[in-house]
Amino acid sequence: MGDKKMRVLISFKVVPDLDLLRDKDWTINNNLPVQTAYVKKVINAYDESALELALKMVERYKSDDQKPELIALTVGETYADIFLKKLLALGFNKTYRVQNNLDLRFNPYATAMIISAFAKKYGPFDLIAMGMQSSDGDNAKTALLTAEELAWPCITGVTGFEPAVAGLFAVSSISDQGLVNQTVHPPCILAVGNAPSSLLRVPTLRAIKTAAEKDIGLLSPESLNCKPETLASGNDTELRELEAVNNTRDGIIIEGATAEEKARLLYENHLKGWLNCR
Amino acid sequence: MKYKAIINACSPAYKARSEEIAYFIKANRSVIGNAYEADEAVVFYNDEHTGAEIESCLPFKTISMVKIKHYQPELILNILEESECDSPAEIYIFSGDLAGNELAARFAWRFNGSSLVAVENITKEEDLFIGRKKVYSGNLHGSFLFRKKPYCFSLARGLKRLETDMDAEKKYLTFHDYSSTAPGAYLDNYMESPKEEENKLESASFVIATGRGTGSSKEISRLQNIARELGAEFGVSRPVVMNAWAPLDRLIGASGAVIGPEVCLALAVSGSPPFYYGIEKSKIIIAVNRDEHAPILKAADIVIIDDYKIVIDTLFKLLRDEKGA
Ligand SMILES: Cc1cc2nc3c(=O)[nH]c(=O)nc-3n(C[C@H](O)[C@H](O)[C@H](O)COP(=O)(O)OP(=O)(O)OC[C@H]3O[C@@H](n4cnc5c(N)ncnc54)[C@H](O)[C@@H]3O)c2cc1C
Repeated sequence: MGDKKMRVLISFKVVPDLDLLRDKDWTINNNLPVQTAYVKKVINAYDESALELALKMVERYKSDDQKPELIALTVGETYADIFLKKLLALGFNKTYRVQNNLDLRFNPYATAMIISAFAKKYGPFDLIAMGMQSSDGDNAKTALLTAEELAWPCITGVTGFEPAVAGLFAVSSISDQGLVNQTVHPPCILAVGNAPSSLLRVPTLRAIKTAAEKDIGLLSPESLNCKPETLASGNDTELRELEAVNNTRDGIIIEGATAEEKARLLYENHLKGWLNCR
Repeated sequence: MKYKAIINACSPAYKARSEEIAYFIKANRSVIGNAYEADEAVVFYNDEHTGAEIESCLPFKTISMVKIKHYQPELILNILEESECDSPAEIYIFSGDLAGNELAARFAWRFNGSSLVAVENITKEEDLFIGRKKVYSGNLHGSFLFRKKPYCFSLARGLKRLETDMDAEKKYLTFHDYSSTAPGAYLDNYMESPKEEENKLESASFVIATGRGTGSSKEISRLQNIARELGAEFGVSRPVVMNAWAPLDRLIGASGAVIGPEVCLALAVSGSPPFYYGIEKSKIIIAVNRDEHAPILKAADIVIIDDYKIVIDTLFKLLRDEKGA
């Protein structure tokens, strides 16, 4: 491992927990789904994995002086602060929130510009990791555009990363070809996808208490030289319309006194012939 | 409009992805125009498949075959930047896979164009070029205006395919060899453990798909054995993978395999849109869930509201008895 202390930035987004809205009908008002305003907020699934993988990576360093500095960044509103506190409790050294008033759902350009501007001002960073896609916008572009703006390489489908010899990083990922293991020189952008065993750990009560005292860095886009007008106009696409998706099929419900009976009816009436002639 | 398809033929599924692009082009002729001579593809390939094998099955008339060592986006983007800079097309269509997504967004940036990932269809309203895709984890459709040319987009996963016999057609091919060019100084070492073939889940006629409600890795292994005995491929939802109860290549959904079997038996999955995306093309969906409000029940053809364990065990016993008889 190299002598220099590494610095790793993880950026994440706080989103409505859409899993809680599953059986609801969606009402759309001015291109905003009404329900999402009231539902519980969570860290976006892939970003959560990026955060946990960063914590796992730090654990791989034997000595404390070598452990990389972990910085978490989110672009969002005050409701993100409880997550930033949680990350402080989990061992992130610093956390920042860029107060944002723009609609970022479908503007990955703006998010990428803010992350890049942050990286330039508060860097240098060796790695920037984030999720590949968020559950509201589904744009899947933020990491890629950040890489382009910073002119860094970008690895997508990341499932893990850890220190390698001489200040390099070993990165594992999934591609269309299969599993990929590569060793890379920093700096590099890592876009995290479905990474097994990467649910974010839970902090101890004591750590939560200590973290409550720590400050969250509060920034504005302007303080990073990002003009809100440019962030809005620079987006390469523009949302025209949102409509609900309808997946309904007219299903038959198999009724019966017991589960066994229902299974038997399913077998006799629907599956038997098909299964036996395959 | 001049358009080009960009295909990653280092992937074992390149044929299916190319046929999806071919179908998409055919279905959207009214938007992109009838310029058949513009049917052009840039195909990146490596030693996994021979050039001849690839060109014979790709439904494009003019193909630029680019040989590389591995699929590496940094290298591919540099090659495209060079090859496209003189006369860029107006539309670039990228395949519906991981490669297509990352290349579309980054390529558009470099050419000062616009990009959308996972597009299902496109329309034109006067001069406005609009792409439609799923957003909010598949709960909603969003229509987006592309603001600047070139319009670059990757297709949604698992769209319809156009199977063509192009052997008879005359093709115009050019070859370029970048197999000894490195992707950049950032890379120290690169190792790929290639998949042998396309994911079997995607071509299976019977799939048993299981979810978080199964509760443990032990139960998942048990169900996997039952699936094998019943002659079904075995798939899982994301929480099963996240808990490491099953490997990632078993994942079904928007970020996993998109299946289209005769029968999909969905056990203990709630039917969230990202999961449902993966099973939507199944002819018959049979769902077993003990929660009568689980969304999968409205989106299935045959429904049992009960404990999946008893149902699958009974099914298995009935079939075994039948076979033994
Ligand atoms: C960007 C993004 C991409 C995603 N991609 C995917 C993807 O590709 N694939 C995917 O699956 N998910 C994906 N997800 C996650 C998705 O949103 C859901 O969280 C997930 O699909 C839920 O999985 P589940 O149905 O197994 O679990 P749950 O939603 O927890 O459902 C479990 C179900 O089991 C039932 N159950 C429990 N016990 C029993 C029993 N004994 N008998 C009968 N029923 C029982 C319960 O009633 C419940 O309905 C993605 C999410 C995001 C944000």
